[in-house]
Amino acid sequence: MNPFDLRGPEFLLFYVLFATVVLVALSMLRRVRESGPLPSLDLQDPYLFAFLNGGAKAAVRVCTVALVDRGLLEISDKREVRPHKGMKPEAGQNQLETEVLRYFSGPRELKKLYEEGKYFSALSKYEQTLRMYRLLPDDDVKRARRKLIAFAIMALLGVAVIKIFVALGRGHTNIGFLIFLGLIVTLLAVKIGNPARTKLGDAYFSSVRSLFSDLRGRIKSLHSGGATKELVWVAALFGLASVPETSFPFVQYFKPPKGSGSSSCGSSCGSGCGSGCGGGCGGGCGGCGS
Amino acid sequence: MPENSSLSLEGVPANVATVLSNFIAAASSTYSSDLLSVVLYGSGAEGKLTSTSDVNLLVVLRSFARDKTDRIRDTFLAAQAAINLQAMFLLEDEISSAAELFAQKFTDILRRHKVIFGKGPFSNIKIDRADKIFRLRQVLLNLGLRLRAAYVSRSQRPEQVARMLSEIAGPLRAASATLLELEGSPNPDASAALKSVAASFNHQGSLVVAELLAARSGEPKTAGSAEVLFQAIELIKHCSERAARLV
Repeated sequence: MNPFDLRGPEFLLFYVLFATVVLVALSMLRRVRESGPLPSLDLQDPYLFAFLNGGAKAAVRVCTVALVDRGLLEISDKREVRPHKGMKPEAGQNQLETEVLRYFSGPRELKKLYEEGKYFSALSKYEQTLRMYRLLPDDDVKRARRKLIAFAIMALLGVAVIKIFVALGRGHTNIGFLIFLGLIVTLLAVKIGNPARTKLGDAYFSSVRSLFSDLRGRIKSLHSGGATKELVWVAALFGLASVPETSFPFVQYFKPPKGSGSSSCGSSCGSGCGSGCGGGCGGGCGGCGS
Repeated sequence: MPENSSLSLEGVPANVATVLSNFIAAASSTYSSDLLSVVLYGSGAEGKLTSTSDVNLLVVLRSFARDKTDRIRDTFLAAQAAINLQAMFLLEDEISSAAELFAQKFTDILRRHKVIFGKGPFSNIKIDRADKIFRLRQVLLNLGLRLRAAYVSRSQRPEQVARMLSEIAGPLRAASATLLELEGSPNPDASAALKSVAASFNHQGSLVVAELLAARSGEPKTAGSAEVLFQAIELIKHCSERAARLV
């Protein structure tokens, strides 16, 4: 049976099944290539894991939350961050904190940090470390991904184009839905084939989250003030959505304003990452928990 | 994350064992010969950790060097966040005085501990009976005073009551085990000791104990009833009276 002889609706059904097979194969091939033994990173710096969770934006966001919690920075309801009187950047406990404190040596809008903070040198080091351990895609992985995605797109679009020519040759012009479907599966191939983390990164992040699983049960009993690093670890691993606003009211200013863009976060991450969305969305929720 | 299977961590949940191994490996390489032993005590040593339990560790050092301690801080803070690790950093030559001055705590540690690194540090420790009785009475009186204050200020807020019950369950278990030991009928299982003490309290004793243990496991049965809190105060008073009769 030649699938290109199928009538419109039957061919669309065939195309959906074909696309599913291609996308599943793409996902599995990527996973096989990107798997490996879990690395042994020291559990010391929560910002490294925030970066792994949601990229540079998540790392600077979690860092700023930690500094506000310690009272070194203050945030207003207009999401303007200013230093606490007498604050010195040297109060930062590591390079990222020092850079964030320097950035906020005067009042500045929080959203500017997300745009400009990605150039902090501490973040480059995090990215290099995570790439070195192949938790984020390095150049080799990116090259391999591009090849796989290209093969998948060629297969997906190739079948659609052949059918379009066949249909047009037979005088049928109702090809709009197939074109739409072709575009959708192409986008899906790019998304599935190129998530923020590698498969190894997903597995490693998942293993670290499982080590901290008890912390989620204690979240409600955490207290502000920065005496411990529990808040920072919760935010880094499980996202700001996991942090109770009753204990940490300032956290609300680090979340997307209600009714302005939060829907994209909810839809893209909600099912895949669980409560990890709040901190991780925007930087790359793809692949959470997989 | 190193998987150090040479440590004696049987009965400990996998995530706790991994984080503890990680911390002990860091402490061992940092403190080197200054790290003499690491002892897990309390519910962790009994294999009865719950998701809300503290993981109590006694770290015995030859000396508390600042530069070395600074180097393991981040690892410790991560472990504290991950598994609620609470560590007591004790110097080798402080063990005897700590055991004498915190007799009730060390009686409990001696009863429920597991050496997970190095040599057992308690071989020469003998806690005087008079010290045990003194500290037991002090602990029970302190618990009673704290609970009365909590009853006055917080007993109408169920979540606060549940939290209070959860906080006192551990110390009361340990105190019950010490009480039975001093009375000559020891029971190494602290929960069983608490049940045994409560059985001689009144008809509501077993109910109070069930509530205390449930609150401790993070699953309170009655969402923090003021009546249970009041009965817990009475149970502590009962224990105090028994402790006062010890000689």
